[in-house]
Amino acid sequence: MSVSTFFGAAGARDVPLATKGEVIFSFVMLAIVGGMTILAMTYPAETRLAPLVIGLPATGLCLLNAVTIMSTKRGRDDGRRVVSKGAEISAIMWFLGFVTAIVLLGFYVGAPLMIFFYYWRAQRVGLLVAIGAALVIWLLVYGVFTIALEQLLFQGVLFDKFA
Amino acid sequence: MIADLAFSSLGDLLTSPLLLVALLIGVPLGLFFGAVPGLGGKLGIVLAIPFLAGVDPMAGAVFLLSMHAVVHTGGSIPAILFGIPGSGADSAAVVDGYPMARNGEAGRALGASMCASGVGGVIGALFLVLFLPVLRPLMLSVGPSEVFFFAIFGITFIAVLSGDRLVKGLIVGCFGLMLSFVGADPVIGVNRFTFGQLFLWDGIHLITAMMAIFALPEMIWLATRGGSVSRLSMVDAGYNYRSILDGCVDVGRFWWLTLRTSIIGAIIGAIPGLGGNAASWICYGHAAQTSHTPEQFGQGAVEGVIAPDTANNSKEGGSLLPTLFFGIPGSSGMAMLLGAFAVMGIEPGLHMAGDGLGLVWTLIWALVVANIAAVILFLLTAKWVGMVSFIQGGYLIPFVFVFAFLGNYISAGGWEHVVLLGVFGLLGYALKRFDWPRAPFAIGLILGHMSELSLSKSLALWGPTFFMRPISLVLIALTIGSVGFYVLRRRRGAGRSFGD
Repeated sequence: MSVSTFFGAAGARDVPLATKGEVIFSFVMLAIVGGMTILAMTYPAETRLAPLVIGLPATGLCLLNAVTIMSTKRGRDDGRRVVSKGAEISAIMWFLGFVTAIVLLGFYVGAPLMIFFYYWRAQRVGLLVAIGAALVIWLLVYGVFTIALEQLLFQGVLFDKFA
Repeated sequence: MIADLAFSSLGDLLTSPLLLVALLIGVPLGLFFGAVPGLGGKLGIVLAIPFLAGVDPMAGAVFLLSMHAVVHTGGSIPAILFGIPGSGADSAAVVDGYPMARNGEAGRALGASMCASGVGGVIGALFLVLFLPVLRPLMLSVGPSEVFFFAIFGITFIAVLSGDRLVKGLIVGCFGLMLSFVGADPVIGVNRFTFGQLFLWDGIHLITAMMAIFALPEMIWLATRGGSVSRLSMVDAGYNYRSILDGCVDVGRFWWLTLRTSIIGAIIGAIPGLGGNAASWICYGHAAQTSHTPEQFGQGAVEGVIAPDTANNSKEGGSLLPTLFFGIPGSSGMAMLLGAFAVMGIEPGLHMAGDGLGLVWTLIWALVVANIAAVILFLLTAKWVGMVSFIQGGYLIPFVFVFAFLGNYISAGGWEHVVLLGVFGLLGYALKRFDWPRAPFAIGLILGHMSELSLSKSLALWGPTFFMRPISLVLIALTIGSVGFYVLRRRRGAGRSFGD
């Protein structure tokens, strides 16, 4: 029975299919949990007790999960995918962009900048609307948090470095 | 005589313009601090303290308590609409509240949340009244051993919340436990998993982890699939005031669950050291375990909203008990409140049961009235609040991202936590994308540190036979019973897919 048969009618699959992503992620979890367990072995006895009590069985479970995933038939991703890979990668890149902008430029500059670019490039709104949205977030961030609540927010690694 | 004092205190509260104004200002402020992710009631109390110097102590106490009492009521709003909890304790409402919004049931979720919060807060206040005589001996008999076994009891819910993805759920739960060990170990203070980074010495901040694992993946997914939070249009979903009232009716429909989780939340709040965050998750796990339709949990079960929200508010009433009568804060929020009381000249202690009873009753009524006022205020504005779930996600997502990062920065205090939020956010998205349950992670993270700390204290105090204490034995029996109940249900086929 070919792989494509499994992607025919909904619910027609008899054998669970693992995508490449699922296999990779199962090994990522194994690496994280296993890595933490190995690291815990380097700590003093009292310190490593709890992490090993949890980490050793968890690593075993990760191995079991990884082996189970590997032993299932591998299917194509697009048969079950409800969104395009391009849209997914784009969303992740925008998310990383937000993180980077806020870390480097802070909340007062990074946040409005990313709002502007997201509205302008991802949402394809007009320039004025994008600028307006950026202004709104700046007013909220500065007005509510800095003026009203007197919380001085992070100004960005770049500005801190050159200040 | 007690009844006379009780009702005269209520009369004073409702007829005194000063107290009434204090309460009516405190409630919307509390909702605001709860609704903006990362702010929280503690920040509200800290910011309010300078303004309370010189104010009538009774009015000041009423203002602070009413503000603090409804913080979690407000925190459920972003949890349901965006999947972003207002605080760590509100994250349990995300698991089913946000799926309800996705299913076009935002109104019902919000209505259930608000009414459950209100009922929970009132029951928590009643708990305060009823258990006053017995609380002192109860508190004195609860020690680290009991806290440890309570944490173990909570940890068993990892299996419940995993459903038929048991192996993955256990892995994620263990991962949450491992993350709770980050930072200085409680025995000899050696740093674990900090990689030489100072900001990790205090461990992974709860709001960072919760936002990263629950909230941000939902926003990334929304950006990926497009559309609004709700998969249905406002017309198809039949969104109107009726749907909000349906949610309120659900609280009555599940009255037994509401009552149980309110009492559990109040008990957890009354015992210092258990932690307020544990209340909502333990009650969520309890609701999932005892539900006739456990497969609905994680997919938009209204019980999954009712249980944590009743607990979140009832625990405030419970935690007020040790705070007022023993000067032992029942939660970190109560610790702030204690400090504020000191500034205003209110001295907690056993004398409160004597000459301070008037103040105690006023605060009890303030809890009740504040919760009711929050429900009324919300019901007046709910229709417009819930509409947010039908707005195109593309216009919301960047604002939600910014407020999530902002809230995380303010509560965790450091740009490094923003980086951590990004890293864990990607991990959280991968968990969602590849169908790994995420609720067990929260249980592990919240209860891991508590269990290790209390275990080390128990061994130091009583040695290996610490489990022989009476209340500990009861908790062990409860845990075994809970696990047995779970195994039985799985055998009968009731514990099917626990959607995420």
